[in-house]
Amino acid sequence: MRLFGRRSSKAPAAELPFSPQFRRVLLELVRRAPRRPSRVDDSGPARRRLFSRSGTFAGHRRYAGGDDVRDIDWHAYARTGALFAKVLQEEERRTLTLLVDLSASLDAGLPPRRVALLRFAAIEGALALARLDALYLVTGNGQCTTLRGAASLDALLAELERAPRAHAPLQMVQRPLDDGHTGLFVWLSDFAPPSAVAPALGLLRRHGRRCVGVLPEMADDRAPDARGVVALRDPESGERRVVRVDAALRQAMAEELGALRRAQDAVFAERGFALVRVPVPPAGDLTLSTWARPWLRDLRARAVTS
Amino acid sequence: MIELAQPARAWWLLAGVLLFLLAVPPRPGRELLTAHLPQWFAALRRCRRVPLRFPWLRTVLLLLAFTGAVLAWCRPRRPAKPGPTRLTVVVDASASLAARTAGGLRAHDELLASLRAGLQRLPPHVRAQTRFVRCAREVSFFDDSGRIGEPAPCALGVHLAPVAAQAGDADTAVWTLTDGRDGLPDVGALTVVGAPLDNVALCALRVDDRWPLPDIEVEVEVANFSQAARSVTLHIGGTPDALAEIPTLAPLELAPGAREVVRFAGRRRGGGSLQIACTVSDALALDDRVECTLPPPPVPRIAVLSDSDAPILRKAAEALAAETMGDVIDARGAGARAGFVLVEGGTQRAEDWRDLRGLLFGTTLAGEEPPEPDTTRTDGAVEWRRDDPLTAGLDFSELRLQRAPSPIGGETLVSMGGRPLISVRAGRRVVQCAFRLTDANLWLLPAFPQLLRRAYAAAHAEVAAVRSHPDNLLAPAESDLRNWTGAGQDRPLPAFGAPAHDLTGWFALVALVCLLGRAWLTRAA
Repeated sequence: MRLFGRRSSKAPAAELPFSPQFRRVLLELVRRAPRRPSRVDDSGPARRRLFSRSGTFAGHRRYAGGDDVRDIDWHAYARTGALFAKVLQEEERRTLTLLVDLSASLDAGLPPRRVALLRFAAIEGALALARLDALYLVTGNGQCTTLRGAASLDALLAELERAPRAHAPLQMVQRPLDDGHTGLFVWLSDFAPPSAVAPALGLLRRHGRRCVGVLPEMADDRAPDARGVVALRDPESGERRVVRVDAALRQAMAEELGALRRAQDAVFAERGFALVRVPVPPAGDLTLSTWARPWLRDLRARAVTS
Repeated sequence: MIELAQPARAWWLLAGVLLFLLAVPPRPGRELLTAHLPQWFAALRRCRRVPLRFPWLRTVLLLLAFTGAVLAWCRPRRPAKPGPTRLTVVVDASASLAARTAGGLRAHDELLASLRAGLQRLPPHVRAQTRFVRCAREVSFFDDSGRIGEPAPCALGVHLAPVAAQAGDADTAVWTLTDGRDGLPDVGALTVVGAPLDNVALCALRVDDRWPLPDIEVEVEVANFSQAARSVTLHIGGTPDALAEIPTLAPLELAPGAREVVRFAGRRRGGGSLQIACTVSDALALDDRVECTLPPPPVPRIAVLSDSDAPILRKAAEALAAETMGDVIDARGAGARAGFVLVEGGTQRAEDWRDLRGLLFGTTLAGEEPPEPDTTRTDGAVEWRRDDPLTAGLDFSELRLQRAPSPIGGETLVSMGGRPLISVRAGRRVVQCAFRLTDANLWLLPAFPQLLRRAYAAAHAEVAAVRSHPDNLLAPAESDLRNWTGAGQDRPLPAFGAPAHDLTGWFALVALVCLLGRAWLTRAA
């Protein structure tokens, strides 16, 4: 037992999320990934305008300067006194909205959950760029970036790398809804606590959107591996507590983590959405099979069923 | 400053290091970032593990409790402070303390205020004994300064300096409060009250009472202890019929520091209190009045008892009765009611004369062993005591006897050739002569009327004395308030010592409080 002096709290060197080796894995994964199934013909290039003058009425958005005056819904103006632009949606437009939570709580874990989450977001985004018409990347502060084509992969990685550490669920959801995004919403987060995302999921549900939650699952999410006297610190609030972890506390903690998982699943299930737990590959393991297997199997299957 | 009675036990404080190592909060092996801190808290609550609050404060409290307990075991104490722990207050209560200053405040009041203030400033552990010196006696009591009475109308019968010197010792401090009229003590603390004041006093009273005669002569001495001339008027009062006529005295003009004797004469009427007072505005009122008690006039019933006609004795009785305004009665009928009995010849029982007053001439007191008689000699030198009040100033040198004197007892006043002729007995109530009047020439001597009158007065000395009231007469030094030398003479109380104070309980209490605080922190968490 060390009595005096401070213990070394030097953390191991942080692993770069988008190392060259991962980029190679990412490119190979995109090359091998199957096309996303669609009920419309997807053989043609996705070069059409996202929103056209014809199509199904998808909703309203606030009229802004530069919008075509022909899009103004005068009936809505007569009812409310405010200018709204009609949003028309082409049938089965293939887009993906990627919601990336980069809150401080993702720093937890070794390696941090943030690394795996960013890699998962990169994989999902890269697949969308390669197979779909557009990718809408929404970071934690609600900033939305539209990316199209496989050539935007570097831009996607750059956006992910410089995304701010924030997590405002309602802002993240409200902006794509205002812009009339209709495709699948993929939300990557740790969803802790699940009650924080419940209002945002409800909003998506009310607007008729489809959403899939992706939770990079670490080993500590099922049972803590800590032993002895451990200082627990919440990276988001900074609160710190020293506890002595023994078998009984580990058992109780496993039960609490189980309750948390059930609460997360319930939040998504109550709104008709799916939550996919993707195991985080071990640190340093950047083989293609490791990253492709869980992702291509679980995420694709659940996305289809949802 | 704290000292330990058992300092060797302080080595147990080193055990505090071991206690610290055992009680120090465990340092975490590593810091774990977690997004599930609420789940950790819920798990801790489920396991009924209350996280310790203020772990370092709990450790500090434990070490303080241990230190306090060890130090309490070492018997800590505050060392004794050298110095006296008791105080004796010597308070002057002489008449001069009653003098009033220009502001109307008495020196005694100032003294009491100083005394109460000083007693209040005493440390709690110092017990004060007050010696209240009043006239010639001391009254001692503890703590309660309210028991101090008023100044006595008399001067101090003792000096404060020896009283103060005897009251102090190594453990007892002395504090003298006085007005400094009687001199200042050299030892101990001193508080001098008062101020120089002007005063007029009646310094002396002399009464020349010629009882059983009614003539009285009074002398009163008046002194002006002032810085200026004073006009003084004397008034005579007392019992209304003490004197036959109250004389009126003329006002006196007294120069500064002057003394004057005022004399007046009077005649006794009924006796009683006689007061002489001076009317003047001064600082001290206690010495402005003197008083004495005059004896009542004699009302004698003079009886004559003789075994013969005794014409000389009867004449003497009649002369004495005329002087004392009394009567001559027959002794056989008067019995014990006679105030004075003149007896010649015969034999009387000695036990009858233990309560009677009288003058015996040639009378034998039966029941007393007479000395060896000498019946042959009638000559010899006559000797008498010149210092005795009965015979002082009288001339018995011409006393001659025709017959040998009878043997008599008692205290001899006059003798002839060693044989007692006149003696006194029964407390001077009885004067016995060893001869009959008719057998000597005593009745022809000029000393006979004086002896007769003195014998009468001596027989009534108990009621005939003038009783003066000395409390009203102060010593001139007590009345002279001009010389006050108390300025700057005050000496403060010394620094009192303190006994050693045991602090074991306090240290044990600190240890207990620390333990209770540590337990409270645990429960509050």
